[in-house]
Order: sequence, then C-alpha cells, then structure tokens
Amino acid sequence: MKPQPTPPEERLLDDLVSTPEREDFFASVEQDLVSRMEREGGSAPAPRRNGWIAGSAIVIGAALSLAAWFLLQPDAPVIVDTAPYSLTVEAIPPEAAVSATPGAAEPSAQHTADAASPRPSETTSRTADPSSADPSQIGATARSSSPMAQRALREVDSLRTALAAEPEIARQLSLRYDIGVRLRIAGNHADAQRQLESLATDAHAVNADVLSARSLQQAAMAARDRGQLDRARTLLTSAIDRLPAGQDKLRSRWEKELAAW
Amino acid sequence: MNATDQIDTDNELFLRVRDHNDVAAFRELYRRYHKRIFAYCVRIVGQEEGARDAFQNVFTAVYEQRQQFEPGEFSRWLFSIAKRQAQRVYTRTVADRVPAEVEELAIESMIDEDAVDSEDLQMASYVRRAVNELPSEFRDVIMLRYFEDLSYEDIATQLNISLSLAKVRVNRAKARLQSLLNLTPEDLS
Repeated sequence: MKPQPTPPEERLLDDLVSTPEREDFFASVEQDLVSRMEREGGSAPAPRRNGWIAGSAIVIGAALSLAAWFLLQPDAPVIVDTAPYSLTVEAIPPEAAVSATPGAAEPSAQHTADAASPRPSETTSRTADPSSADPSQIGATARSSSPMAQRALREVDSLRTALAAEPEIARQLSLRYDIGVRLRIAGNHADAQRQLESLATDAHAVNADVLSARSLQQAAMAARDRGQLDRARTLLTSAIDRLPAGQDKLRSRWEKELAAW
Repeated sequence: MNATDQIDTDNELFLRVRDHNDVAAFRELYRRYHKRIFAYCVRIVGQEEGARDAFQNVFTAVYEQRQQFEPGEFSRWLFSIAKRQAQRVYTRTVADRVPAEVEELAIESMIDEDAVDSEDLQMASYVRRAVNELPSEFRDVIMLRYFEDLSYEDIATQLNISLSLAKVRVNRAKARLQSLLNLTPEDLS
C-alpha cells in the first residue's frame, strides 16, 4: 500500500479531535465492528448462504423455544395462522395500538410475531435486560456485551422512559421507531423486527406512511441480519410499495438494496 | 501522488471489505477516516454525545451497506452516509417534539446524496476558516506547524521565541481551535 500524503487541514483536524478519552471510544467502535466482521467472516457473497444456514438454525431453534414456551404458558394467545417465519397472533385494531396511552409501544399491539420470539407482551422488558435468559435471544444477549450494543440498550431504556411519559401519538410513533432502530443496533434483531413491524402497521393506520415504510425497511434489515432473507425481501418490498409518491430517491435506494439481497 | 491515487486506493480497500470481508482493509480505512468523520459529525450535530451516536451509526451503516457500494468515490459515499446519520441524530435531538411525519419530512429533505458535494473538501475549508479566525499569534504558529510542517525548534527560531513558548503557543492555539470547531472534549460520564 502506497503511503499517502496527509493534507495539513486533515493532520490538524486529527490532532484537534484526538484526546485519550476519544481514542478509547474510537478503539471500542473499531473493535466492535472488527469483532462483528470476524463473526460474520468469509467472503461477501457468502451472506446469502450463511444467512440461509442461520435462517434454518433460527427456524429450528424457534420451533424448540416456541414448544418450550407453550409448555410453560398455558394461557398463551391463540394462534390463528402460521407462515414459514411468522405466526399471526390475536389481532388488535391499529387504532387501539396508537390510542393516546403511554403503553402504545408495547408489543402487545402488534399484529405479527416472529416464531423465534418470546411472548410479545414480555419482550420489551426482556430486551432491556441483557441478563434475562430467553432461548430465542441468546445471540442478541451475546452481542449485548459489546460497548456499542450496551450503549444502544441504554438508549433504548431512556427512550422507553420518554415514551411512557409521552402523550402525543405522533411523537410516540417516532420514539418507537428510535427504539426499534436501537434494538437492531444492539443486535437484538428478533425484537427489533417485531417492534418495527408492529410500528409499521400502527403508523400506516394514522396515514404516517413515510414512517411506516421506514419501519418496514428497518424491520427488513433486522430480518436480514438474523438470516431470514425471504422475510427481509418481503418486508423491503412492502416498504417500497408503501412509500408515498415523491419519495423517489428513497425508493430507488431501497430498490437497489433489494436487488443486492 | 495525486488525488486519483488516493481515491483508487480507498476504493480498492473498500472493495476488499465488500467482497472478502477483509478486516485489515477495514481497519486501514477506519484509520484514515475516523477522525474526519467524527469532526464532521460534531459539525452537524453540534455536541459530543450526539456526534458519538452518529459516528457509531456511520461505521455500522458502512459495513451493513457494503454491498451497495459501487466503485467510484469512496470518500463521497462515506461522507454521504455520515451526513445522513448525523442529520438524523441532529433532527432527533434538536427537533425533539416535532411530530413524526414532520420529522420524517425534515429528514427526507436532508437525505440528498446528490447534494453531498465533496464534503471532505468542505471540511478542509471549514478548518481553514477556523484557523483564519484565530488571533494572529495563534494563527502563525498553526500555519507554521501544520501547513509548513516545521518542528517546534524551527518555529521558535522563525518567530524568535523560546522553544517552550513555541510549544505553549501551539497548544493554546489548538485549544482555541477546538473551541471554534466545537471539538473541546466534554465530560460524558
């Protein structure tokens, strides 16, 4: 690799940015990403294959954890439909989900729950506590040990506190979006996907279609990251379909993203 | 060495990240860009903690979106991601109680990758402007130290001051610049 001359402004900026505390921060961000790359090791086209394998493992794991869950939860909600990667649970009208109650972000409002998920109404508190042992969240718990993931989880906690006190529906939806994204950053893809899918439905119900589409796109990324590529493509396709007119740049970017998957 | 060499090398590195998950290539790109990206996030977000959020999101997004990278100008692509992430954080923190749809529209209006016109060069001119705002005694030492690449000894000789005064003056000038550029370290604990 050829050495590159560094422009003076850049050298100066580097010196101004550099402090011991920031260097620690930069090193921890770098290490998080490097660890992730190493975990996901291999060549780039491989994610599809790896994702398929991971997806299969998740489906098997999901079936086992779901069976265990039913054994422990005799009052579980009635399953009315099944799909390869998702189960439809009792439907609550979107209006109820976005009614001006502080608990609007609770996953109990959701329409679909992933087969790999714990009981919907319990997921929120479980996610905030990396120590809670849920069989379906083992991967997420492991990731939660990284500084970046812990930071994201801390932010989830404070966002949830803000959400609990937030009476305004539009702002609730926005906070729920932030929570979903943070959960994804924290590596808790199953919970992130579930929350974002639920949010997409609720936002759509109040005609917040850009937010709804964005939620679907983020849910798609969460699904992709947990190896559910088919589900990810379906979600991203729905996100593109839901985008209102005038969002051409976003549409084009997502279409490119979809083609890459 | 011209600019094209730099661009090609960055591209080459990122293609290794994209196609082979090459950790060494990623580390090298991170080493080259992380401080500039951080300063850029600070510039948009306006405060340290939010800038840190944005910074983390930038490199996570770079990795997650690596398959979308097409050989071209890596720096432009990277800064476009940084711009999006920093503006998202800014919108979240500053426009705290703006209804979601309005907030989304605000974000949308900012996510304009075509408008990311050589942010890297803009950062250079941003730093230059801050240097020009310094009092002359500070500006002189910064120019000599960074733009003429002189040692502290040479600076002392050229300005006819002691070596220790040259060092003190450079440090004070840097502290002043940190303040002008919002880069003064904050206690985040």
